[in-house]
Amino acid sequence: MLKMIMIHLSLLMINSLIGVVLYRFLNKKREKLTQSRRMAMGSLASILSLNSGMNIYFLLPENVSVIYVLTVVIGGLIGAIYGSLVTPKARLSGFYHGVIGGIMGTMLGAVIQNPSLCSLPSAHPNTIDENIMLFSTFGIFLMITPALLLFEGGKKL
Amino acid sequence: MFKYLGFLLYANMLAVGIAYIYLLKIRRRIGFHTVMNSATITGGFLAVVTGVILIYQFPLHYVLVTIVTTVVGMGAGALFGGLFDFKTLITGYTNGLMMGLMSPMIGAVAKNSTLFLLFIEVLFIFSIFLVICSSRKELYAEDDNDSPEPSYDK
Repeated sequence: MLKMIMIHLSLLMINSLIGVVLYRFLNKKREKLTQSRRMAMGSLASILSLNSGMNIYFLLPENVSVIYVLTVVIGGLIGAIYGSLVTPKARLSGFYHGVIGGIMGTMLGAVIQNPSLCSLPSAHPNTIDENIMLFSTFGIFLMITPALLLFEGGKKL
Repeated sequence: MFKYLGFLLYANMLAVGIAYIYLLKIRRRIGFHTVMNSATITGGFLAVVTGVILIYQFPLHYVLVTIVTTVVGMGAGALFGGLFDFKTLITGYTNGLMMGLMSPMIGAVAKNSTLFLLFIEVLFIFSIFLVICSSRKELYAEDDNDSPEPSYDK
């Protein structure tokens, strides 16, 4: 149990580290970000908040209402911070994308932990841990690809 | 009937491939908004169709189906978005990712309903048709703008 909690904490730390590094990189190139980049910024914020919502659900799966409040607030903050790099108008779009990402991440975590929610055949308790690990690492992969893409495209900015 | 769902998936991939080849030919002549919207529509709907068909066939492998669907949606969105720019690539990529994560859940809730599959298929074909039609329309509108002004030498 403690081992799983440590693993989820470290995955959450990696997720936030990637977010902070991306923010610092984009903050340096702030003047060169134009209005047309606000969709890309919102999508980046949505992936970040989806991942953090999933990991928060795995960390404390007992009290669902607390998780929903936490993920929506965190997702909205991430979206607003990333969006305000571009323009005040982009902050709105980033906020929207971040909140949607947080809600969807929580839903995904709930379905992975209890597959009979979606009327799928319920899994063996041993395989649930395996599935959680697989999805967490897949989430890190999902985070790294847009980061690489943005670094690659950032050179052309 | 569910034995032959793989052919349906193949036909969908083929339709998306034909649309991609068509857009690749005329990509210099269509604008930013058309490419972005076609990337969103095609990536999202291909992810939905792939997820529903795969979860109908393999209901026991939920995790693997979700990962495969996400990768397919991401790839299709990035391919269509990459026709214009880096920004459209990111938009299509993220939309395909989101739809791909959601679609196996929708397919699992539908409980092997044939009517639902038919509805999704009709929606998919119609959206592909709409993408091609709108790009054709933009092409001819641009041609009209570029045509030389009428001469009034009478």
